[in-house]
Amino acid sequence: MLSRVYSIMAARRTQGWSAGPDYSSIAVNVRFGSHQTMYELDRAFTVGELRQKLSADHNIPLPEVKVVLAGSVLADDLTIEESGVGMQSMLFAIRTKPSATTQATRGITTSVSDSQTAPAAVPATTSNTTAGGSCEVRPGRLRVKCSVCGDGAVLVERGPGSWADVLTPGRVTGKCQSLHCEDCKPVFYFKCVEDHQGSVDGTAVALYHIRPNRRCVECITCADVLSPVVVFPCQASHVMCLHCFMEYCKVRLHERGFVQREQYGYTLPCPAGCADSYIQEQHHFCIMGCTEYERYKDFAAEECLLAAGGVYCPRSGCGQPFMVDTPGPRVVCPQCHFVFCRNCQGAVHEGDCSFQTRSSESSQDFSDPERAERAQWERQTAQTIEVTTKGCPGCGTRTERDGGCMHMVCFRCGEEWCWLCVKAWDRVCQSSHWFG
Amino acid sequence: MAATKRLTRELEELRKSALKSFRDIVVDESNILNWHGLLVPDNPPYNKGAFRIEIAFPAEYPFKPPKVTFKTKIYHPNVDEKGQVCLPIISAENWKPATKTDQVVNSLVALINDPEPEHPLRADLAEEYTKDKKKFFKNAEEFTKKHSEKRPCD
Repeated sequence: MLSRVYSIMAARRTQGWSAGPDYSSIAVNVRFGSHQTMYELDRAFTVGELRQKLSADHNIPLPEVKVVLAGSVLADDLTIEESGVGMQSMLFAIRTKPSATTQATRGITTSVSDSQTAPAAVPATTSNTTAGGSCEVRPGRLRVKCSVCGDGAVLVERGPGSWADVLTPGRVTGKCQSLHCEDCKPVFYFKCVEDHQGSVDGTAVALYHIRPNRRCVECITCADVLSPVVVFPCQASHVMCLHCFMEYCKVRLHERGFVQREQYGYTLPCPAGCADSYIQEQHHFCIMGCTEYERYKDFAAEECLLAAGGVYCPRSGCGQPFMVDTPGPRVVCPQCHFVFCRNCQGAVHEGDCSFQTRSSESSQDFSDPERAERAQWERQTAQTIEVTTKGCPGCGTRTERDGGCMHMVCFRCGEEWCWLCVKAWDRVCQSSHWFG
Repeated sequence: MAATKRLTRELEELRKSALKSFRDIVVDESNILNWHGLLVPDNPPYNKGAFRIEIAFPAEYPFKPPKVTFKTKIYHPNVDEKGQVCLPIISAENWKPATKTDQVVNSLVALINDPEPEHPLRADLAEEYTKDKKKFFKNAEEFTKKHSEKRPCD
């Protein structure tokens, strides 16, 4: 689905550039000091011609005017189209002293080496497009700004050569052209190729595990050779196409198969089971689409809360998350004041949890017919859960068995248990309970 | 769908590789998720016959593992009376989406050739296998001759 997004966009552009008059020119903002002017430029217009225009408009000798994009001075023979600016992009004009020689480059990606660790010529970013409300992976444009004043009129000493250069401020040195800035560092960031109206600063999250597949590596799952791909940070650098990655994330999310890792949050490892292969940046999971990503965030928050010793109120219709600071199993929900047992999640009780019924009816108000009807539904839901599931003997997580053998492995706590005995899997289960 | 694309490719590769121990792969054109094939073990007492198996792939394949079932009766400690088999490589906790069907088949052939009585599905056969191998072999051979399919000639 995502590769289709790419192809649709590409098709539309090609069409626009070749035939559509609307796409023959490009609107570019050029900032010079505190002045900002919008120019409607033909795509074939060169940087040299733009410099002449700026020289005339601002009354500066031509040799002193330079045009800067993403930290580099653009060469005169470069056309606007080749320079990599997008619609409504910002170019920076700077005035250099006559003696200063500043080397011009032919675009922002020429200095990036072609190694697998280098950022993509078209790095992927994630952006939440308003149309249709879906999250999509889009190519991004590399930009640079000053760490102090935030202005884009910055010259860098060299182009970034790796993702570390891009993501770690200060690795690539440079100078802000503003007269007032001192001790500043160039900060690289990405903008989405799409123009996002209403976006605060146009910054998009860099999805640095997504890279162009220059070495034509097969997808570990479907064996297709596609580009771009997700490259897992394992030693083998296993590759997965975006479509398979999306499926992988969705399947694992539905079975609560993500894991909570302190450094990376709620994440997934390489599907080949490699060591140290977790996706390190959570926005990569936006690829599942907005609905699933929202679910992902809910699950992540839940895992985080439970890992920190918190609980959710089990009363249907409440579900309030909160931290518990009292010892013992008796817990009171601060929201609805439902009193429940922390161990079995049922209404508070005396004695062993196993003899209690999982019910919270006592706290429900049946005088309102609508609530009474909902309560009826909820009771039926609770009954269905009671009949179709069994609690993991390790952590109590309600578990449904949808086929296969009786040997259960809890996705929550990893407990291996027998569906028939509802206790830890042992030798007896091994020899006589596999299939009932 | 990732499953269709992947299975089409796997089927093609598996047919091209022409494994001696797994052949006659039949796949219904309308449903690539369901495969049938003939398992041809090399070790006695199972080398007297061949065994039909079914491999059922879930729609979420390869993110969820396939299920393997024997359609031919077999006298084996690791296969139960219904033909169900517990193969570690395709258990939910061990499954890796990168695992290919030929690996699954090879792992199954290895299990059939060399039973693992320490992880039995049929405790009675496992006990017989461990305590009286001669008797087990005799029974298994007779059972194979009676119930199994004919082995391919080549």
